[in-house]
Amino acid sequence: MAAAVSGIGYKRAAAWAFSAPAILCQFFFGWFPVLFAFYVGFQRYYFVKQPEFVGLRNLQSVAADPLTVTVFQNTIYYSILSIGLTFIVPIFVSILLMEMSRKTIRWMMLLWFIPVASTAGIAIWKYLYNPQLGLLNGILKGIGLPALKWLDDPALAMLCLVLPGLILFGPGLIYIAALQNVPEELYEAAELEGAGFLRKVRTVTLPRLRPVIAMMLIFSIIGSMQVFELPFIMTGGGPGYATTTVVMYIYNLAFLSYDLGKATALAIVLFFVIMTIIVLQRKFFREDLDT
Amino acid sequence: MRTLLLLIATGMLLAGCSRPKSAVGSAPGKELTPEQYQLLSDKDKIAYKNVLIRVPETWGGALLPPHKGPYDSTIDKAVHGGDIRTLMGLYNQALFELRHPRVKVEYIPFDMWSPTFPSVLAVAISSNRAPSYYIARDLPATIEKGMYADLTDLMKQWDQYLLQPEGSRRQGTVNGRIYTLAGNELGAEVIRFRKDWFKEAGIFNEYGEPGPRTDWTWDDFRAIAKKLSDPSRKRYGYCGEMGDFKSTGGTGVDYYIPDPAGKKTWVFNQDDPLILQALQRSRDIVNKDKSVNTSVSTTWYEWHQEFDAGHAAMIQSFAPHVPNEFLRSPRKFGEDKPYGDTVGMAPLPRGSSGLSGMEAITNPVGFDPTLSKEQLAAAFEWCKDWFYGDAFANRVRQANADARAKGNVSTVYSEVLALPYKPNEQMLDKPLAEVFPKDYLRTYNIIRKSPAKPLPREFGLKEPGKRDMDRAMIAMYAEAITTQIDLKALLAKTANLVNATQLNFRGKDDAANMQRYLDARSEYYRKNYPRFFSTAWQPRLTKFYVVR
Repeated sequence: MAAAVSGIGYKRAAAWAFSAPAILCQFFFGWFPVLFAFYVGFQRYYFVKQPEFVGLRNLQSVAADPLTVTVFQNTIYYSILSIGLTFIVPIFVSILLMEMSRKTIRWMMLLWFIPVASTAGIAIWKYLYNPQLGLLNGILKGIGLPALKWLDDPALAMLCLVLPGLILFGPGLIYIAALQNVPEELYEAAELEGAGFLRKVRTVTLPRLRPVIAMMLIFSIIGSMQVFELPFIMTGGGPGYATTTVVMYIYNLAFLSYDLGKATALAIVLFFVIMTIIVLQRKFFREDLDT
Repeated sequence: MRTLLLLIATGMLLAGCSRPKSAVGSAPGKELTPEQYQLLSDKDKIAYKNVLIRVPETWGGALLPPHKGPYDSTIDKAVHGGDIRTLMGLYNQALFELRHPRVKVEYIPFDMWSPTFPSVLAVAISSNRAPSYYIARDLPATIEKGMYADLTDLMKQWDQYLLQPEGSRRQGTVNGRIYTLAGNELGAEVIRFRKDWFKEAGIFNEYGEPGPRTDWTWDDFRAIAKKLSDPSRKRYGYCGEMGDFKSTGGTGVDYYIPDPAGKKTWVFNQDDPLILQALQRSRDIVNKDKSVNTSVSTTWYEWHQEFDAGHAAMIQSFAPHVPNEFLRSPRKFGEDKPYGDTVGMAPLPRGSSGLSGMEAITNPVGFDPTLSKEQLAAAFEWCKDWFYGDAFANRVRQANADARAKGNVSTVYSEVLALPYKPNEQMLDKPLAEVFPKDYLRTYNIIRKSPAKPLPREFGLKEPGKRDMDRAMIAMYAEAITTQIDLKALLAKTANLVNATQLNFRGKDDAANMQRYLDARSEYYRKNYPRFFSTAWQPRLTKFYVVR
C-alpha cells in the first residue's frame, strides 16, 4: 500500500517536475505580460522615470482618438477579407483536391508548403505589386489591360495584403490532413444511400471537419485581428491610414510615440474585442461532432 | 596544527608583500594619475576601473571579428586580414583608458539605424543595458519622456559648445536645459541630381554648371522634374517616399499654429492657403505631370537604388551621403561616368517668396539618463575625443593609410567636410577643395550658413513629437496623392485627427510664452528673409497667429 502511495507520489512529483519549466515559461512569457499590461494601461509610463498612475486617462485618450475607429475598421475589414479568402476558400479547395489521386494530393501539399516561409513570401509580394517594375502590372499590360496601383490605391491596398495568404496555403494543409482521417466507410455508406458529391460534402465531409474548422476559425480570428507584419513590411500602414491595423497602431504608439500607457490601453481594448468574438463564436459554432 | 600555523604564517607573509590596500580601495575619492595606475597589479587595475561606458560599435566603437576562423585569435585575424580600422578602434580604446584610469570602455553591438531602434532602445534603457550614448530622435518628445541625461553643466564648460550648428543646439534644449550634443555629421536635406541629364536638357545654374540654381523654387522644381521625365526611357524627374512631399509645404508654413480659441496651445493650420497649394502641387506633379515616381511600398533605400539605376533625375538625400558616396563608389555609374561629374548636390527648393526651408542639423547625441555623474562625464569626454580629439586624428590617419595602401581616396574627407567641430590639428593630405566637386562644397557652405529658426520649446511651449506630426503629415500628403478626396475635406479630416491627438494639450503661461516666441520668429524672418517677412509672414501673422 505504502509502495503504491509512494509510486503515485513519485509520479505526481515527476509530472510537476517535467511540467514546471513549461508552466514557468507560460507564466513569465504568457500570463505575466498580460497581467502587467493591465498595470501599464493605467499609468503614464516612462522608460526611465517612475510611472504615474493616471486612472482611466489612457482609455479616455483611446476613445477620443479618431484613429482608433479607423484602425478597428481597417482590422475588421482585413479580418473579413482574410477569413473569407484564406479560411473559407481553402476548405472547398481541399475538399475538391481530395477527389484527386493520392500522388497528386501529396505533391500539392508539398508545393503549398514551400512558400509558407511567410516573411520571405511577403517581401516577394511587395515586388510583385510594384506599379512600375512588378510582375502583376507586367501581366496586365501584356494582355492589354491598364496597370493598377495595387498597394498605392487605398481601395485595393487591403485586398493586396490578404492575397498572399491565399497562395500561402497554411489552412489548406490542415484541412487536407483532417480530410485524410475521415473514414472511407462513411462515404461508402452515403453512396449506398444514393448521395451525390455535394450531398456527401454536406452530410459527411463538413460535419467531420467541424472540430478542425472551429479550431482554425479561432486561430484565424485571433491572427487576423492581430495582423501586423503584412502592413508593416508592405505598406507601412499607408496610403494615408488605409492599411494601418490595430496592432500596427499599438506599435506606433508604443515605440514611435513612446506612449506605452495609451498603447497598452488600446491593446487591452483589442484583447476584450477578440475575447468577445471568440466567446460568441464558441457559443454559436459548436465544434462537437454530435450536436 | 603545525600545518595550520604554517598556512597562517604564509598568509601573513604574502599580505605583507602585497601592495597596501589604500592605493586602490581605501581612498575611493583619490584619483590616480595614468602613471600611478600603471604601477598597480593587474588585479588592482581591474578593480580600480569602476566607471564603465558602453560605446555602440556603429557610432564610435569597433568590434573584433566574431570568429577567429583559421587564425589563432580574433586579433590575429584583424592584424593579418589588414583590418586596421578595428585595430585603430582598439588602440583608441586603450589610449582613452590610459588617460582616464578609472574608465573602462566597452564596445557593444547596437544598431541605431534600423526601424526597430526606438523599441530596442526603450528596452535597453529599461534593463540598464543601453549604450552610454545614442542618437536622439523625435525631439522634444523623447526629452520629456526622460530618455536623455541633462548635459547643461558639461556643455557650459566645453570650449567647442558654440561650434555646434545653432539648429542642433536649439533642438536639444528644453526650458534652458541642454539634453543633446551635436553629432559629428553636419548636414541638411538636399537634392541629389543627375548632372549629365541636366546638361543634356540644357539646365544650368548661375555658375554655368549643369544643375538647378541655388535659389530655385518649388515651381522651378516642378518644371524641371517635368522636363527631365522621359517615359520612353523609363525615367522620372524625381523619385522618393510620399513623405518627401511634406517639405513642399514646409517653406514658411507651420502645420500647427496658436489656438485662436486659447483652449489648447496649438491647433492644426487648416485654413492657410499655402498648405492647400502644397497639397495640390503634390497631387498634380504625381498624377498630372507624371514626373514623380512614389509609392508607399518602396523604402528610402530602395528609392536610392532607383536613382542609382538611372530611373530618376532627382532624389532627396541627407547631405553627407553624397560626398561619402563620391569617395566610396567613384565608378558607381560606370567607368566613363565619374561620380562627381554624374551626380550633383543642390539645396532644397525655396518657397515662392524666397524662404529657404534648409536647416543645418546633425544627428543629435543623447546620453543614457541612468549613468552616474562619473560615467556621464567619461562618456561625454569620449564623444569629444571621437569627434575631434586624438581618437578622431587617429581615425583620419588610419583612413588615409588604408586608402594609400589600397590606392584610392580616403573616405575620411567626407567626414571632415561634414564635421561641425574643430580638430586639434590639420591632418589631411590635401585640401577639401582639391577633392570634392564645386557644387558639393558650395552646398555645404549654404548649409553651414543657413540660419536656425527659433523653436517653441525654447520659450517654454510644449510641442508635439516631431515624428508623430511627420507621420500625420505624410498620411495627409499620401491621401492627397493617391485619392481624389476634396483637399479642403482632407485638411478638415487631418485637423480633426491631429487636434484630438498630437495637439491635445495646454501649458502654463502659454499666451505670454507664445507672444515671445512669435516675436522671435518675426525677428528671425526680418533679419534673414526680408522679402518673406514683408510679403508672407506679416499678413499671415495677423490672420493665423492669434494669441489668447
